[in-house]
Amino acid sequence: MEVITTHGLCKSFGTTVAASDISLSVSEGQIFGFLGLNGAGKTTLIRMLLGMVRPDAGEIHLLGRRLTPRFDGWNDVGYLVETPYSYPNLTVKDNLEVHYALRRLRQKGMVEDVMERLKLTKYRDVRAGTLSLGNQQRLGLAKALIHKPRLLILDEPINGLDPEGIVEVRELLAELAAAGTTVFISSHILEEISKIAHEIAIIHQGRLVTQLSATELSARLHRKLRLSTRDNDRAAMWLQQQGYACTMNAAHELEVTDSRAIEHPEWVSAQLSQLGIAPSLLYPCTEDLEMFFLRSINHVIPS
Amino acid sequence: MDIHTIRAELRKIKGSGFLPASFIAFGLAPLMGGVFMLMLRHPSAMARAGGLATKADAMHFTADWVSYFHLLSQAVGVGGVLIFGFVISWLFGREYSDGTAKDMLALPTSRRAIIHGKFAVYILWCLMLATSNLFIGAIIGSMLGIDIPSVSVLLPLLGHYYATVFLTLLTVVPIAFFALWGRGFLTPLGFVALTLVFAQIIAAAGFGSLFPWAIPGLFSGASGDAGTGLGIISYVVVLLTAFAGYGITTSFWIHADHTK
Repeated sequence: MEVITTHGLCKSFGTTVAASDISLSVSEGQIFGFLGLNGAGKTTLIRMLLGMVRPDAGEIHLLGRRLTPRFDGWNDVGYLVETPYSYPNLTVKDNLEVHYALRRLRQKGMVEDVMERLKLTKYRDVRAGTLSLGNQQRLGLAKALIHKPRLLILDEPINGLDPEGIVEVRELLAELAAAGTTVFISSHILEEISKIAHEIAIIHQGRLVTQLSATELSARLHRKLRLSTRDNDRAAMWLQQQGYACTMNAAHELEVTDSRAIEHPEWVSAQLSQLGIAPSLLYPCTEDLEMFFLRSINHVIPS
Repeated sequence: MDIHTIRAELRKIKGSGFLPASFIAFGLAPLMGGVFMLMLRHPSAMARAGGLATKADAMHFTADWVSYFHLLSQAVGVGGVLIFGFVISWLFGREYSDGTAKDMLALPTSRRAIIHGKFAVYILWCLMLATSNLFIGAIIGSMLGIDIPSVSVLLPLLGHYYATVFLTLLTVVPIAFFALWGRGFLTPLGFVALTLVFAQIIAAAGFGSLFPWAIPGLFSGASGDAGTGLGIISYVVVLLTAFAGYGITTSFWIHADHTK
């Protein structure tokens, strides 16, 4: 089942185009990573998904229902948009109880449960205004999770978290997705997204550049064989004689993109050794999500 | 009216410094009335009081409950626009200054119910402010030994006082829109300041009976006898102001793009 679908979403603020013809779909139980530079249109799209910003054109369906001002499925949706803020004069528990009331929840244990889950119990009587940035982020996540939503929409949820907190959130999201919760997560921390997302989409200057699954992403990431010898010029000549295109990178290492060489580095190593220029360094590497992202947006906007 | 929303709104006030501050600020009026009465009952103090004595004299203040109630009504009719304006600015504007407005927009509680909850707390808060002034006045009056009025005297005084409170409550409603539109406190507080300035100028020019924010003051008797110059059209203006304020506030919250 598609939990989120958008068709031809457009939104402009004056002359600034925030979203242009965005169509995407997110399946149930997926962690969907939504990537883009600052100002690319991520938050505008998230606000449109939450009904906070009205699209100029296009349609949104959440949980199989069309999003209109009369949409009544908000208790199936949890969200955190940009920096999470809470009422600074209220304690952690009071803040959550405000949400408990506004979400019309009926199980009293929900506030305690979510505090326990987000490790906020020891701060229950601490005013939100005095919490550390990381704990404010946890409180924001607690507000998003208190009602056990089927769909979680998170905008930069790991900002401000320490490394331990980042790992905890990663594990929490994986656990939620395994239990069937769909997670739509935007972030500029691409490494994190690459660790958890089942599917990613890239937005740039309001346009959807690409949407692909983790498997498709893996197939599209550039792979290389990097090597270095005592005589890189001779090694490069030999590689070219074998029909392997190679280049020298900024670290003065040779980079070969030919799949035969990438799949059989031991053969390359043996041949170079026979020539008396045995590799002092030889390793296959795969482009990371950051490089893929930059390659994708540069493809759209030639520099 | 939705009890969950009102409960949530009431909980949000907990621990806020603005709640006691509003009561302290509004409670200055009965304190001032108490000082006037003290001076009137002690002519030697009156002689030494200078400016305060002149003010009490100009207001034709006498040491009785009728004068005291008139002072409290005038405090609501003129000062109420300021204090009630602060209350409504705080209730609606804090969601932006605290950064929590976005948390109120995609909930099972409708956006209309959120606005209704805020207006309900606004009315409750202001009624408590108005009533607290009566209590403070009653305590001060008792301490000064002012004769207890008969019920036939007291009821019309109470009726006039709460009618002034009601008119003030209505005229302040549109300020909620300025809090949402300006996304914080500054715009609505600026609007409150403007209404007070224009109320003085327009009332002085003789058109106060048509300017909504001057009408509670005129009704309270701040510029002479209570209700002087007001006609049915004045009360229609106040009602229209309140309805327009409610309509535009609700419509903005429901339909505007929320980007903050």
